[in-house]
Amino acid sequence: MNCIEIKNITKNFGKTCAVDNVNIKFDENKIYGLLGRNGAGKSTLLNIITNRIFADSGEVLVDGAIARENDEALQKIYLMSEKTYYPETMKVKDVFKWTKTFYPNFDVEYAQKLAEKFELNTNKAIKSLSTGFSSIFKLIVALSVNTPYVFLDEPVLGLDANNRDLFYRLLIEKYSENPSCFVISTHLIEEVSNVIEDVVIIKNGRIIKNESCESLLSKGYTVSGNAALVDSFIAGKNILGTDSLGGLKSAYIIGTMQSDMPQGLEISKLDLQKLFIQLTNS
Amino acid sequence: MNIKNSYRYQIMDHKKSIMIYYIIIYCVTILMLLGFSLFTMKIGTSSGVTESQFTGVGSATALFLFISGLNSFKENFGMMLQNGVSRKSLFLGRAYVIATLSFVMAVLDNILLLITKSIAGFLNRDVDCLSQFESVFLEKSQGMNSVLLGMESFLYDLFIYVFAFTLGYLVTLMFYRLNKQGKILVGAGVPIFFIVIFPILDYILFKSRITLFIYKAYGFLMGTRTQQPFIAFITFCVFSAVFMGISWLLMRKAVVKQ
Repeated sequence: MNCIEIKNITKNFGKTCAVDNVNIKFDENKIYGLLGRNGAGKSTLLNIITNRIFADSGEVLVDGAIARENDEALQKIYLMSEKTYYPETMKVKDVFKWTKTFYPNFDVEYAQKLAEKFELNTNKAIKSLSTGFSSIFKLIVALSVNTPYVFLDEPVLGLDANNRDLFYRLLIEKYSENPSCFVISTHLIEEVSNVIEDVVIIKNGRIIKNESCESLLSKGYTVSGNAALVDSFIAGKNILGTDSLGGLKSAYIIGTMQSDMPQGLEISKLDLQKLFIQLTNS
Repeated sequence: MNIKNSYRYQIMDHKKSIMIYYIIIYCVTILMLLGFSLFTMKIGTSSGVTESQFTGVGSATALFLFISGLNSFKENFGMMLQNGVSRKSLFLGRAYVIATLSFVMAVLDNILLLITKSIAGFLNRDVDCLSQFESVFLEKSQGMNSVLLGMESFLYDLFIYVFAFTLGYLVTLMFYRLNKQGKILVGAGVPIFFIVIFPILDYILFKSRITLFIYKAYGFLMGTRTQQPFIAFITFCVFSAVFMGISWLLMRKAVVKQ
């Protein structure tokens, strides 16, 4: 099966270990959420996968071929990063033209259509774009590039709510029409939780969770209500964490729900963002 | 490999600046010839007394290519990595770009020199129109037939251009790989050492014998002492190859700056 396989990747910056013996697989035609706090190692991992920086040890395989300095493997990957690596004086329309040269499946017409939707002036030079439009420009390229593996590092940085909504709709539309592997690295977990199929949580350079979103959220539940009631209910249970507000308390529990729930307690599904906070807080 | 696309992109990157350069150079040459046709001025040159002297644009082109080399890495590196091109393809693409541009510019410069010589002849003025090669190998070039002179002049320009371009590329790569302290140390330390410290030390300790040796070695390596241009061709080729070799060693481990 085609996939990107990351094997025993470790990367240190001086005394700081940014990525610590990471093993992970990104299968084709799936949308992944790569979640982690600031400095968790998400961008470092993406930069290693795309040959922008080198790992101290380990290897990245793209459809079975080693990705390091391998043009053929690298042509299957596109990374939209926070930093812009296109020449500052180049016009957006020229970036489209050159991307088509390097990625023959790049759809210039579709990119132009998306630029109209986002009201991006393609005659503008990259350096004159605002933070939001710079993200939009890179998103358009990423959505039009048509490679098997697309990595989006903080894709909605600086985007207003309308454009964020438009992006998620376009991503789903694109994925349903022409499925490929999208890996979204973001802090805005609540927004992506409805889009992603699999979740990869990275903490201090290590993968702490790697499973389907549905399976992860079905492993537990949230119980809310009067603090005293909640406290007595959660005693002896596997607790991820708790939130308190006044006399009310919410507890995030790993385990299956019992059928006879005490009166006055409200049971709901685990929330991905809450789960993420609890998993990465300690 | 993606060498073809890397080459195409890097050539395009130089297109505009080269066009501007040649528009300026051709305009300046025309204006100069116009000046020659209107005014006369007796000047002393190495070949005697003449009305005016035009020594080609070789030095300007070499300087232009050196500066082009200095500006050829950082942006292209980011663009290539963004588009899934390996460092190897970027480097090989650059090597072809250096060869192509040096060849094309050597041709254009020699055509300009021929045009200038023809116009000077037409104006019937005593104007010395010399290529870089003729200026350096004056004795040898006086006895050469025009075809051989043109060929050697072209080769001399070509090798100097490759040398200048590769040197510029090496310098920019070195600075890219160095950290902040290293940049300051190399950027300020090297010129200070060679301009100030070295001559003083050489004078005090060796009575300037090292400077004299360097001067003699330079004369030999450039072929000027023996008036053998092929020595210069070999010297430029060897140095260019060494520069490219070091450049590759620096590039293969280069990473994007985050």
